Amino acid sequence: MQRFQQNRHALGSSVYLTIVLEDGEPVTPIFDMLWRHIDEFENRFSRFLEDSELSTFNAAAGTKQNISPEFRKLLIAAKGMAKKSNGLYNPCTLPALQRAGYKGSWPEPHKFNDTLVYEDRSIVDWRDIHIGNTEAMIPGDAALDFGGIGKGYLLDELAQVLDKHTINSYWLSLGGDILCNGYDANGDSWRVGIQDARSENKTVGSIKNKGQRIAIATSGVTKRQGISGNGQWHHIIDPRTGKPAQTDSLTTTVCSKSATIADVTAKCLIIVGSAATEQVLSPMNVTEALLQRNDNTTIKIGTIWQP
Amino acid sequence: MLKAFKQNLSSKGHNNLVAYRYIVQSVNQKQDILLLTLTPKGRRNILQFEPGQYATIRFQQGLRPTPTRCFSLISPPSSSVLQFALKIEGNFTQAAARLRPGDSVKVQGPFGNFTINPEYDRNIVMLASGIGITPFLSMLRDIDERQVKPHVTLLYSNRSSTNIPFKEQLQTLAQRNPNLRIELFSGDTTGKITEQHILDLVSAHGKQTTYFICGTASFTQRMQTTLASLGVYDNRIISESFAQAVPAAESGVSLRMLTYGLSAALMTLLTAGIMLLDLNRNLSSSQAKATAARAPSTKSSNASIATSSSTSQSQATPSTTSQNNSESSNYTTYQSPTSSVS
Repeated sequence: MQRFQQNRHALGSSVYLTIVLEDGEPVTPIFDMLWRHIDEFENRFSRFLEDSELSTFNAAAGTKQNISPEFRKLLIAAKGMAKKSNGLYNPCTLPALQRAGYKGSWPEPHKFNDTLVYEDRSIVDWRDIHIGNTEAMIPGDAALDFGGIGKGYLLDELAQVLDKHTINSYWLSLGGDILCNGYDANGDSWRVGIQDARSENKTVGSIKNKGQRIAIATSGVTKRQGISGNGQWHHIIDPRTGKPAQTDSLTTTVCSKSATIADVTAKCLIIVGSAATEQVLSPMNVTEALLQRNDNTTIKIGTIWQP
Repeated sequence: MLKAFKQNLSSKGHNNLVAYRYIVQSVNQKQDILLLTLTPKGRRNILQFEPGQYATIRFQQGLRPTPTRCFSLISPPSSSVLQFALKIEGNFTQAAARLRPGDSVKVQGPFGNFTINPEYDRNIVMLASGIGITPFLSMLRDIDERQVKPHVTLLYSNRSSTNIPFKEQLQTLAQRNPNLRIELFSGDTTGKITEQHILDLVSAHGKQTTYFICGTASFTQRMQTTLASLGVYDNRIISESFAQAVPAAESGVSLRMLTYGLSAALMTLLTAGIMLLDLNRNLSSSQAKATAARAPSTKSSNASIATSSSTSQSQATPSTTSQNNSESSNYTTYQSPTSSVS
């Protein structure tokens, strides 16, 4: 068996793809397939690209629009997550996020295309997203953004692609959200480190996958944050207030079989803070979480966390 | 499942060293284009391929086998025969024109990734020049058989309006498929495909379109550059150019002459080398005590090493880059998984 790795900048972050194959197995077509999937996803769902399907959709908010099957699938997933999280995750927080200061693509949030800014719109109730068989509609004063779910959702999709091709050992990282399955080339389990919120070179814990498929997502207020006219901001918007979440957690890490659930749950945990974790974990059926608080303490929920 | 995937990879051009035996069914020539139709020799040994891929062919010419040459398949995968379109312009293709029904041909492949991914390529623009139309013929014939047809725009450029290979077949396909639009360009009437045409295309189709380009190296390069300058993403530009080097046999130098020539050159070099070594030994012994005379010699030697070192470095750089970009099994740079704020 051999381990292969490629990395590239995509989705506004570093993407690592690592797969383990039998000796002599062709590698390039597999990577090509994965990269193409990622590029396609970005082209379709980026809010920073003027001609992405998402931007076209937001531009025509208030009218019923034809959507691609891929768009519909992600929209259904986003609405499902909004329901499951009791609205703590809402795919319609984009206007508030832009008002906070996150308008342009990271790392230059201040450089943006005016036509893609919807500061004058509002956060609408997720139930107001209407999804038909081939079309969808959001209220005229709303704007969608899949930033809170996209990487997790895409990780699940990529894993499906690999599973479909009977590639059972891999780990994929989209900007720090990780999904792993199977074993390393030497037969060891994958060991995923959890980055220290205060030091990029340190970890505060780790998880071994023991051959199983697991997804680990970390959210936090330490990255994608800045200072705008409204003061200090970060990218996790509390839909209840329409402002960057006031939280005692610097980062939250969630482990689940589904990367989509892990991604959304980690963000919701930031929003509610460390005192109300059960409010999030229980409806999402998540039992494993790790919180790094701003008082330098770490809370480990569940049993799989290792030093 | 694993088997299916391996077969899929194999059909994409990997580990496909099996030579398939085919029989010539027909050889038709129209102007300078030769249409070669082959049927499999047995029922089991059949080449599986995807539209847009190519294969190599070789056959017996008199008592000797011909060299191997690559050609795009123009038949759809569903067809019971393999069809190749060859532009007659060298010894090999002239020999192919002399093939007769019943003759044996060895086919090897398929090769290439110039293929449509139905999952993503739903809006397609094909840019072809001359005989570069061949992979598109297979694609369009395949699309013609599908129930759900992607939107395809074909821009097809030729030098002369009186010699447009497969013009009638393309028009028939366009009549049957409302999702297919074809624009023909000829150097003597409408002129070449220009940057303005591409600009119009990109404006009309947007960046969610996949652009396939096939033609001469200069045509492919020009189209790629134009599309990239208009902001079309790399992954949306898929190209294949006919830039095969002219083989010695077709450039008028036979293999036998080439062998003789190389042997003669090698002998001359060997003789010269022995003479130089001998000269050096004699000079060294006669100047053994003249140490001052060594300095220029050493200096010269150093200069030579420096040059060779710098050359090898500059050659090594792209190779390293390529390794990093491709199948990095590079364990020294392996990144282990760490979950961080995304």
